Amino acid sequence: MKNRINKELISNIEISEDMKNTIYKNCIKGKRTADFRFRYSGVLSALIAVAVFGVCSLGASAAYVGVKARLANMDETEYQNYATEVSKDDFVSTDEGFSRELTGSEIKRIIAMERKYYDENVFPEENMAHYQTKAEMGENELAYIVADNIVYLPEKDMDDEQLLEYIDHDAKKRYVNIRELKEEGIEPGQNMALESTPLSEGSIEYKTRQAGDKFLKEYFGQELNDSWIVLVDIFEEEENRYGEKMTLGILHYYQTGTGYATSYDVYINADDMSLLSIQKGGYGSVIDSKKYTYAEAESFVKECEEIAREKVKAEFGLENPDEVTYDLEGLSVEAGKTATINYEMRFDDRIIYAEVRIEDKEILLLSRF
Amino acid sequence: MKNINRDLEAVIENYSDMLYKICFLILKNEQDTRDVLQETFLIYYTKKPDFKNEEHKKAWLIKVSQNKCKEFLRFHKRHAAVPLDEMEETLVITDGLNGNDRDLLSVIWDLDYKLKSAVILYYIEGYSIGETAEILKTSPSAVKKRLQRAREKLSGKYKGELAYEK
Repeated sequence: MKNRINKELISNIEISEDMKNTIYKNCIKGKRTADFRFRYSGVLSALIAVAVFGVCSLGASAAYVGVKARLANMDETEYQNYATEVSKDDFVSTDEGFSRELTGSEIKRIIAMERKYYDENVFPEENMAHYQTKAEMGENELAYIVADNIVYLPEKDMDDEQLLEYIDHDAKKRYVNIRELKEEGIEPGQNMALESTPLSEGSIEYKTRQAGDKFLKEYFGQELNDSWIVLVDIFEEEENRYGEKMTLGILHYYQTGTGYATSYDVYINADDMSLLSIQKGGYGSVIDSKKYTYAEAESFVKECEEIAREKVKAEFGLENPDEVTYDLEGLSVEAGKTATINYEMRFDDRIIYAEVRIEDKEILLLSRF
Repeated sequence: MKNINRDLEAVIENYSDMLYKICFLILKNEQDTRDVLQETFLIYYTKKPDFKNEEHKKAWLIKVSQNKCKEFLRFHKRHAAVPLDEMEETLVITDGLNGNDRDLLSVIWDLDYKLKSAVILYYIEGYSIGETAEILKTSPSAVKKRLQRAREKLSGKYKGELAYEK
């Protein structure tokens, strides 16, 4: 009585040979997907740290010298502990490596604390404890348990020292992971560096970066300092959803850390340097914002829609959409609540996406791509 | 394809179609599906995990791809999910299906992630409740609840009998 669904139901959904070839080639190159939407994943984010901690020069920030020294000076036992931990990983999502999710308050504090760790060299007094079994753990302790390959977090919110140990553990694990991979001859792809993409003046990458920085300042007032890492990718002859070909420039802006902080993605048509999409993302973009139940958020739908429409008109010259749909399940750190409303506006031959933060009506995403 | 890495080549050849079907059904557009598959195989390539057997490998790949789908659905909704009838304009999805199955696919297409992933793994891929729970990182009772809710939604359109093992 188990399975009564026709097995042929999805037989028409088939991957093309072209797509298989593309995936294969990209994997061999170690190339990640173009839009970096997977930056939250544990293993891959671990992969990308090589340029900062491992083999390459430190381009991003002088403060990294201190972090690098700390990581490079791990003693053999500690290094081997991390190497064992890395080798046992079979999960891909960061959350799976921990006994519980971080609370909103912990995420907020980690975002601030990791800047102290990476930019001001504020390190924990102790290393995170490593035990063979959970039985060895004390109450409210933060520790990595070898037998479970899981970091157990205390039931109550971590204190500052524990947060620093958490950040330190993350940094060390990445460092060791990268070193181990390097020894296996696995090079990170060009998109995996945690130092900004090197740019030659006058190149299309350089011009795209300049345009991206301008949009970032204009839209979000974000000034960049040397703790920001900016990756620039250019894709020639890229086709958008409407079949139009263009030189696509994708910029990803972020700061080194556990991945919760605010980051930005900017898509640019590099043929004319016009904006295709700009997004403020990461928990950092909503962590301090008021969260609303879906029922509460419903009452802001019209107001936020008007603001989104005005922005779409101002930026893309499009008005009076044929259809507007919205989605309340935006990025949030509280179950059943949201801080944003997403809109999809359908015009004659275009679809525009916009995300509005409810509390202050800031547009977090605007996209015509 | 050049034989730069025969193992990667083989695993893409053997499993990409299966993963593509599952992820496409969940993400409902081609671009996101391609991205999820690329990330999945990249992890396979860089991690080089050890597997007990082919079934273990298959389950691992599904698990990784499901995590990726989930991450995508959770954090980014950049590419719109395309309605089934609209998708049919460019890709043949329901050709050869009878009316009942066509309706069923249409309802599955519109289920939310939690229900849909359970339905795909249990009813289409044939995994047990326990295996489905393992892949989706949830409990068997949660899977049963999801299947129950999915059946309630499916029952309006689909006249066939869907049940699960006790």
